[in-house]
Amino acid sequence: MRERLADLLKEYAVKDDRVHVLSGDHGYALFDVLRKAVPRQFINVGVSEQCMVGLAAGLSKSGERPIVYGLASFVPMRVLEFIKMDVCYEALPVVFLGDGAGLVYSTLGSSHQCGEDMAVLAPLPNMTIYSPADAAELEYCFRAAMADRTGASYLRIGKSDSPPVHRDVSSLVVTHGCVRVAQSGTKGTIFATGSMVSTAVALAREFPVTVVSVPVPSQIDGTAIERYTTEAETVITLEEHSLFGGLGSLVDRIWSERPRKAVMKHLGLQRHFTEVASTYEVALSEHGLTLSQLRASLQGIL
Amino acid sequence: MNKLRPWSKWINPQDLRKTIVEMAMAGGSVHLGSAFSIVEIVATLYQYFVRLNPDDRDDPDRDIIALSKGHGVMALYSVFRELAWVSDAEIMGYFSTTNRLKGLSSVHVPGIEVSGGSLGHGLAVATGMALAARLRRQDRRVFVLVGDGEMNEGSIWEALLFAGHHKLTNLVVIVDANGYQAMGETNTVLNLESLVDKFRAFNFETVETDGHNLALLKRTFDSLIDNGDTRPKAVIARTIKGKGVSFMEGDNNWHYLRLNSVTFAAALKELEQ
Repeated sequence: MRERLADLLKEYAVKDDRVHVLSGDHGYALFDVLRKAVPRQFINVGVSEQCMVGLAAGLSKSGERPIVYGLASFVPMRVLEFIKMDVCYEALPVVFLGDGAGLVYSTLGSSHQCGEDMAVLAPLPNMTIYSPADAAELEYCFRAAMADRTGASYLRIGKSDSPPVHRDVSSLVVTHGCVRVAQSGTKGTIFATGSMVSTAVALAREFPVTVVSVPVPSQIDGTAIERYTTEAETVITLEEHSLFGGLGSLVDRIWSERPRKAVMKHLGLQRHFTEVASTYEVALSEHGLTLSQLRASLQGIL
Repeated sequence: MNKLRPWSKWINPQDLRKTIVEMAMAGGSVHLGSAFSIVEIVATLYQYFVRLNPDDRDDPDRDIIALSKGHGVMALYSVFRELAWVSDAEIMGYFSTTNRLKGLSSVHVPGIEVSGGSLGHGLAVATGMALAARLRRQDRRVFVLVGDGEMNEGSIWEALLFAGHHKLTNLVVIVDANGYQAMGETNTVLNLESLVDKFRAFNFETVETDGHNLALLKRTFDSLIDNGDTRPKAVIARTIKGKGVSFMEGDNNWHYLRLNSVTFAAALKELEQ
């Protein structure tokens, strides 16, 4: 996924000298190919995230095409109000990349873990939220974000080495923010996003469910929910993001306003900071999101 | 070379203040003191230095005047009235049910370049515009008005670091150093001095001047613009909050006080003398 991102950044920057990648002194090798190809289109702003968002807005207002990179804990969390007022208020087509979302930085602790990024951006006008599950979805999301000149975009980049769920981007068709990625039955429907999509696909080998990946959570609507839940007795949302304000909340907001028979269950990050500094698996286990824990949850739910 | 020219027509600061008083009375607006302290600065910039197209506020070659201290926005509206960018009806209908002129600077109002209601934003955005002009080798000046109180914000210093490091010589930061912020004297709340030393340490070519003296302001900007020095520019404009109306000058209550019929009449009378 990260290699694909590195290549995409280079591709767009080489194609258009108005494309500039801004980083707040983060990213390391991710930008190697970009910096080798077009060094002047990479700007390390320094550890100055607020300034970075303002600069990007000023560049965008002047016709440039800034891409702002940061860790999700800082972009968007730390600079939320700058995104709201400098970018969203003017509907500027700035593309934000929030890396390391979720519990990826399991050993570094809570400062670098981020389960709130979608929740804080979801209420903002003129902001599309993308949450790709694998390299193919990342490419789809990146190209969609760069093509959208009507407003800002945020790409949530979480655990990047999960097994791919799509063969390639050319066969990927996303409608209403969703794409079905597995179906072993219709007893339940799992709406999953980002890193949890491959986990949901694994669960579909054991439970009679439909798995829907949601690479564009902000675009999910009643049509998508209706399409994938007609026969389901249980609808489940699954994400490596807080249960408060993420995919579950977005789905639930639409779901609760419609006639419904099925029950809904949300699985995601609990509202507590992780305690142990260890592997990613250990961090997931603090929130009940390992494959074995989810298997037990689904046995109870379905 | 930029084909556009400054407006060049004489802008009388007292006319701007009268407009500010009229619209503040009409709308029951606060922040008179913040608007009064920058009147001579905006008058000088629009008359002599901001190259614009009076018929197209979005002309891509225009110079930028970014009001980062959005609380002084009535000073901009008063200039826009002279430029016929806002109508007398809009001035006299400030905060009426259909009026688009907001109480803090907002880019949704044509002619306003940055949204400055939330402090510490406009400088970074304007710095991005100055950077874009340099990337495109465009002859474009970017003037930013920041308040001394606004300089409490960390984002201001982030942007100054960036502009100094990247030698954005087309950026001119003007500090409206009126010595007050919302709840007290700036140096009592959070000491900023020496502003001159700080800007110089951030690699800005820095000049201190009387922010109400038109001749000095013109001379200051003349000396800084296109002078061959590659550093960004800073003007520390020493001003008086509430300047122009005796009972408002130096009385920080006029940050949030509203005019009534008595103070309105007294203010207008002074400004008409």
